[in-house]
Formats: sequence, structure tokens, C-alpha cells
Amino acid sequence: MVLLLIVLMIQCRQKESPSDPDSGIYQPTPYILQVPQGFPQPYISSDNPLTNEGVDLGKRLYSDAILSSNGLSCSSCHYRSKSFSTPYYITPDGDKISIPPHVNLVFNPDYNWNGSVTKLETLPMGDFEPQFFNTNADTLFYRLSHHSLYPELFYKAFGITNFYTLSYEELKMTICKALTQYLRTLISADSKLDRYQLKGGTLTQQERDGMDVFFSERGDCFHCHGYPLFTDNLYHNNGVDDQFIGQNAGRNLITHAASDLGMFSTPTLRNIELTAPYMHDGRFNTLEEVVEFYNSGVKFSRTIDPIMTKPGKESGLQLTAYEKSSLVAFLKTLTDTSFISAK
Amino acid sequence: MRGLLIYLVTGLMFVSFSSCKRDHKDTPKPVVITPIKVDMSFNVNGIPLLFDTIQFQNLAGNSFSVTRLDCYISNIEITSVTGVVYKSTKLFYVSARDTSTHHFTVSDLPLAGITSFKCKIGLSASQNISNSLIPTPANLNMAWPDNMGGGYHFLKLEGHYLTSNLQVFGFAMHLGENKNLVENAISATLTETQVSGGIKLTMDVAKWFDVPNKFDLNKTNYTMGIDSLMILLSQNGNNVLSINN
Repeated sequence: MVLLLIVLMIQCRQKESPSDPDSGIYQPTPYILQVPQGFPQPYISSDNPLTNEGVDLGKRLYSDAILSSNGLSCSSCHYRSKSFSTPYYITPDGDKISIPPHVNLVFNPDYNWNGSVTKLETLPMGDFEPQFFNTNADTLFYRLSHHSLYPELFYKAFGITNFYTLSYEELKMTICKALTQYLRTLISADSKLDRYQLKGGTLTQQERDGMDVFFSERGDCFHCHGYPLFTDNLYHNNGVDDQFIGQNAGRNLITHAASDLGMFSTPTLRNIELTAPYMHDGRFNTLEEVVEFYNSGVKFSRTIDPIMTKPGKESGLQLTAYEKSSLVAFLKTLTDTSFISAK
Repeated sequence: MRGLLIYLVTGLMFVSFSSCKRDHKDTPKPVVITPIKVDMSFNVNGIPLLFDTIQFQNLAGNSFSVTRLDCYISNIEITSVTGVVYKSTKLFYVSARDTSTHHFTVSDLPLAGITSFKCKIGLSASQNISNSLIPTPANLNMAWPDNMGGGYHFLKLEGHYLTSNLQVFGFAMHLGENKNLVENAISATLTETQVSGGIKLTMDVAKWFDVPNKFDLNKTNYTMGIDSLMILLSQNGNNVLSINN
């Protein structure tokens, strides 16, 4: 009986400290992702399930310059106030790229304008490169090993007891897994429009008029930017170009299919008010410019999306001035202030 | 002790056999429905459908390509060789580009030889309600705006064609709204063995443009929101399916 009591006491102590390096028990806690009403199933990698410990670690690393040699962190460029986006990036080749925001990535099957990344865990791997964090491997190992918190946090999240047992690639991938777990929790679904649709909120008359333009053949935005994701996660040539040189080749750069020339992944319009500039190369600085492009600036090519070729609208949507301003007003209702202000 | 054990075993055996006898007498065995499989394929005038290349022709003489063909197949109804009509309430999203959607199992239809096959392209009125389907990416992308009637697209057929002055232009044949639900009725005699291997359902894409209403893409390249054109398109849809076992 005494022996039984002793055994029970030991087991209880183990349950109170599930992930304790000293006890040798690594037991991360599953993170319960809240999927908003009407949203599809999230994409979560089987080799990187969400855990409380992984998400917490990823959140810390997102804002920690410990990963870089130049004082930068993810949040140095991905501003929460801009829906975790940054205005643009200039590549070593001189291309200007509008940076997609870190919002609702968990519902995307692939990433970047041309779908170059199909697994979210590999998306941050490029950030260790000289043009971003310029990470020094030796410094990274040393800093993490001697940090007051990270050894324990990495153990609790991934069971790592000694960073130096990992190769540099393995360490980077572990960091990316943590970052990815955090990225998957960045869900925006509480905009003014969501509250109007689901919770009895209100829109102004002009916002409702803009919504009618958006969700009708008048504006025809819904075909690619449908509710609730405001992206169909497909590739389209929306007529921004009729010459496809360099990065303007779009999806073709990945598939090498002529039919994919000029095609880009549909960006989400959630928080679009905050994520200027617009289009893959940031050519438009304001939502008004974007609307005017669709109104009168579409360029035709062999791969133009068929949706863009509606009779009578070969030169664009031909919206009135009020319809254009209403459409912009509606787009601003997709801003989720709780998402950009949450801690 | 040994005697007690013998009595226990004997008693258990008696109870078991009695229960079996009661089950056989009082509880009818459930009817096992072996569901039927459907395997869809797509062609254009008999030519296997390939995407993104202008290589097909319709009755109006338009040379065209297909970039997208998504639809719902629903409310399948079969007439067995014994004359019994079985109706399914299931619906299936089919995308010509996604071969994983070409094969589906109709779990509420029994395996049987058939003399006819009917189905709808689209959703019945009771199914065609906004947000009623599981929010998969496919279903979300088929949503039909509420201020245009709500529910879902029944069909998205899109592609490019050569205009009369040989420019490449696009077409988008979208179908939705309850009144445009497309019915297909196919006379097909298949044995149970043939059905067990899967009903080979084929869609001839060209027929969407051809019969009984000839679509000249130079004149009509877009249907959504235009009632008169969606009606014509839905009439053509009555003839697009066949069974090719």
C-alpha cells in the first residue's frame, strides 16, 4: 500500500510538470486553433502540429533579433499595424515586390505571388540569408544556448536538450517550425464586414453600395475575392501587364507553362486598407488606383483571365465615380482592428 | 470449484445461444447497401479534354480552349432492371482539372443493374442555399452572391477562343439560380457487374455550346447575370452527359 502511494505521488508530480528537462519528459500541449465560422479547414503540416509551447516560442522569435546579425527580426519588416506586412522589398536583381501580409496563411495551400513555396515551414528559411537577417550560424548557436529562456522553451516545444546536437540546417528548420506555428495562429475574421454579416453590425449606406458593386456583376470582385477568405487561392492574370518579363511572368516562373504567364496568386483583401502598395510589384499606392485600374486599365493578353473579358467591359468595369468611391469604402470594411491591436 | 466452473460455462453458452435465437427471430438483419461508384471523364467532341490550349471547335466554328470546368453533380437517380427507382440526395463537386474529384461513391444508392441514369448538374433548391455546404475551398469558390440570388454556381466553364479577327479572347459560361438547374436523363442498360466496376459518366464539353442552342462565342462569351443566356446554356446542359461503360 505504501509503495502504491509512492508510485501515485511520482506520477502526479510528472503530470504537473509535463515538459521538464530534468525529468526527461517532453509533452507539448496541443494548441486548439479557433477556426472562424464559415472558414475552411486549416492547412497544418503533419510534421509540425500546433502546440501551445511551439506557438509561444514562435511568437517570441518573431520579434526577437537574436536570429540576425543586423538587429532585424521578422517584426522589423512585418508590422502588426500593417497586418504583418511591409510596403515592399527590392530584390538583389532590382525587382520591387509587394510583401504579402501574414494574415490567414493557415488557409493558404501555397505562398508568395507565384506560389513558389508550398510548405509554410520553408517560407521563413530564406530570412536567414544575407539580404535579410544575415544570420551567423556560430553566433546563433551560442546565443540560443546561453539565453535565459530559449533552452527551456525549445525543449518544451520540440524536445531539444542541446542545440549543438543539431546541424545548422536542422536548427534553422526548428526555428522555422516555431515561427510557422505562430504564423498559423494569425487569423483575421473580425472586420467591420464580419460583424455586419454575422453579429448584427452596421455598414454605412455607401459601404453597402460598395458591397453591392463588389458582390455583383457590376464589379465582379467576388469571383476571385469571395467571402470569407477574400481570396480564392488560385492564380489569375488580371490584366496588369501584357508583357511578361522578369518577375512579371508570375506563376510561369515556377511551372514554365506558357498558359501561366502573367498569373499571380489572388491576394486576400482582408486588411487591404493597411497593406499598400498593391499588386505583385507594388505599382499601385492607393486603393483608388487599384479600382481605377480595374475600371479602365486592364491589359489584354493570351492568358488574360476569362472573367476579365465580359462583354461591354473590354476596357474595364466602367464604374461611376460614386461606385468607385463606394467600392473603396467597402474595401475598408475588411479591416480587422482587433487583429492589428491584439498582443 | 470445478463443478461451479462447468455450471458457469454451460450457463453462458445457454444464454448466448438463446440470444442468437432471439436475435434471429425478433431483430431483422440490416439491409446492406453496396454503394455505386461513378467515374467521370471529360472530352470535347470525343477528344479527351486537355487544358489551356486552343485546339477544340464548337458547332459555331469557334476554336477554343478550356481553362476551367467546375460543376456539381447531384440527385442521381437510377432505375434498376426490376423497375425500382432509387434516388440519391447526395451532391458531388467535380472539377475537370482535379482528377481526385472525378471518382465518387453514391452511398445511398444500392448496387444493381440499371436501365436508366438521371442526375442534375447543379443543386436542387433545397441544397442551393448560401452557406449550406461544408466550407471547403471548392465550395467557397462556387458561392453565388446573395444579392444575385444566393446559393452556389452550378457550373463554371471558362476558357479562351479565337475571335473572328484571330485575337485571343476569353469566355466564361457560369450557371446558377434554381430555375437553371440542369437535368440529364440517360438511357443506359448496365448489368450489376458492370455497375460494380463503376458507372462511366462522360461530359462532352462541346455540347454546352451546341445543342439545342448554338453559342457563337464571338456574340455570346459570358452568361452570368444574363437570365436569357443562362436558360439557353442550361438547356444545352441537358445533353452533355453520357454513360460509356
